[in-house]
Amino acid sequence: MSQQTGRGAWGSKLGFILAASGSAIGLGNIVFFGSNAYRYGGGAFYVPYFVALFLIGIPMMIVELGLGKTQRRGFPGSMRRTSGAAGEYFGWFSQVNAVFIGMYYITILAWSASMLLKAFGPLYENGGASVGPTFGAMLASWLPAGCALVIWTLNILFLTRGAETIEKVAKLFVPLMWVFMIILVVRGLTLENGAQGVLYLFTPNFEALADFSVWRGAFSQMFFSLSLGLGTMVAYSSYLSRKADVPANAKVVSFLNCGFEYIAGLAIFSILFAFTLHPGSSTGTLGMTLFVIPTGIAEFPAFQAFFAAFFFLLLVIAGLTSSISIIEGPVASLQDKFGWTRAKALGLVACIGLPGSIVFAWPTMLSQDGTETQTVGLTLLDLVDHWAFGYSLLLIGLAEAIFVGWVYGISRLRGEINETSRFQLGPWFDGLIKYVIPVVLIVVLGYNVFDEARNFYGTDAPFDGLDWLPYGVFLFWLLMTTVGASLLTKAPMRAGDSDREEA
Amino acid sequence: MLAKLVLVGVAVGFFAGEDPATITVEDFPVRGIETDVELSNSPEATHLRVTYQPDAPVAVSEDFVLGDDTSIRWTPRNAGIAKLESIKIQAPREGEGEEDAITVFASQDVSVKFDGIPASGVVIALFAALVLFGGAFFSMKALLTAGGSTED
Repeated sequence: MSQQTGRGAWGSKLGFILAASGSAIGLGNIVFFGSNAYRYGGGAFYVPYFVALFLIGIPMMIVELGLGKTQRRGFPGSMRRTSGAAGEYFGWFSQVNAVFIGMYYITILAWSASMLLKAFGPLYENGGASVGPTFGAMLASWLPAGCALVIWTLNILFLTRGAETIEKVAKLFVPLMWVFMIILVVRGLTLENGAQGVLYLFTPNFEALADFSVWRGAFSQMFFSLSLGLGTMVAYSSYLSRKADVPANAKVVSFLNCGFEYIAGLAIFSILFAFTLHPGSSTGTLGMTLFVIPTGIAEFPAFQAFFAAFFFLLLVIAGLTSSISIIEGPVASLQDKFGWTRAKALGLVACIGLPGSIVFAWPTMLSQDGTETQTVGLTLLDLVDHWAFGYSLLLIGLAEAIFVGWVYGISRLRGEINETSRFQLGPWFDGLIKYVIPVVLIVVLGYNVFDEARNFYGTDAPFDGLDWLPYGVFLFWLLMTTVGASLLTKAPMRAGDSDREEA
Repeated sequence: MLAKLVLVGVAVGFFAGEDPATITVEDFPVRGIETDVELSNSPEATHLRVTYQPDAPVAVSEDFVLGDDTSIRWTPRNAGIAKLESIKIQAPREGEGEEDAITVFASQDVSVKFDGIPASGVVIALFAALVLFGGAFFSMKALLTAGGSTED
């Protein structure tokens, strides 16, 4: 433990890189990128994707790592020190959202773990035809709630000693995740016509570039993929040495994250093409993860159960390295603000999060007339995700760029980052943070709000007698995040802490 | 991460009920090379609709008028996943809007292979790999050889 700060500290540079890349690489990288690349024109998607990586991804990663490293606090504390109470408010807004996201993220992990268990049982009893019924039966059972309890327990164990235990877990899981994914790529490419799927992934449909939704998809993908706006990168970098090279760390984490997406795309597209599957609009990303890919694996000539178990294990491992970072953000922020012990902060987050995960795993069917198989938990998860993930990350990113860019002064942060950096950020970086990124995020958010105004999310779903649910979930999320952030911002800081201490 | 999470319906819908109408096409037809599409038990179908990149915002469709035969020659225009549907297109009746009414009798997905190795795909694959893994390698090398650990 660092004697200087009294907070945790990474034991090595590699430890931070593995932990931060493990945080960024999650379930979404494995299938969400493939799903987006399919939806937005294959190789043509790489054009806006690379523009987004260099225009938003790496610069915002530098800002988040720079904030944590220089301020030695979690996201709300860093924002308070740089931008005052208004900045802190957005910091807490992000952390309340992180708790929401952590709740359902662990439920998704629990579904993956449940499917992992099913791979040793009924998943392929009748070949690919068993996947759908097995998946449906799993969702409609309490098994995922039990798995959520186990996964929360693992998260608590992995977070007991902060950076020290996170680093140990990352050093084991992150390399394992890469090895597993490479094995899946090899299996995918050696399928008959699997290599054609790779050509399909990369061959561009340039007509798609004229479609604004493709650009919007790429910019959103980059933000979500790198876990920006969640506060996790700020929390992780607050354990970095004061001598750490922020731009170099930001580039490594960003490239590793996108590199993992690249190879995940190879695996996913080779399977999709070889077995003529596509992430249909009705299935979405989660369906592709838990249903479409396992259906493809059912067509493997041999060892189907083994590869299915392997795939779900990969999901669980990738998800765990992300979930610990999602939980670590609020835990570190509570410790910073109130001076609590790690056990107390972790206990509070777990006491709120675990029941939430069980609610999202609630197996009761909304309708059992044969036309609708959506569970209560899945419906709530879908609605909460739309707001907590789809909007909040971009909104927080926008607030971050504005506060750091205009209130604290990006040139000031740039100067602090450059003190320990080989690669010197020039004034162009200021322009990106102050003007380009806010404009891009305002356009993307504005477009999303415009869409929302025409068709409020969830209102076109057939919820018999529950027409109020989409509005109710939105209001609940809005109330909890805004009021929660307000209360936490106004709460008195621990004795001895101040905005100037260690700044 | 996971943006659009609506998923199910699929579990039952995918395997529910059997439609007697079917579409048969060779496995892995090749872009630009004509192939036979057999339609059975859908005598009311008026068109074969081919949708490239189905369920994507960038999907494109083309319709082929069906004759009296139960088969039609089709030349895939694009490689990738395509959805073939036997459909009946009816002009809207008075007072029922302006859009045609579409009845789908059968549907079949197919993977269309490339008729060679597309240079643009290879260039983008190599470029992306070079940028991402090259960037990761050189950044990590610079970081790890800079000396010192993260400890103050």
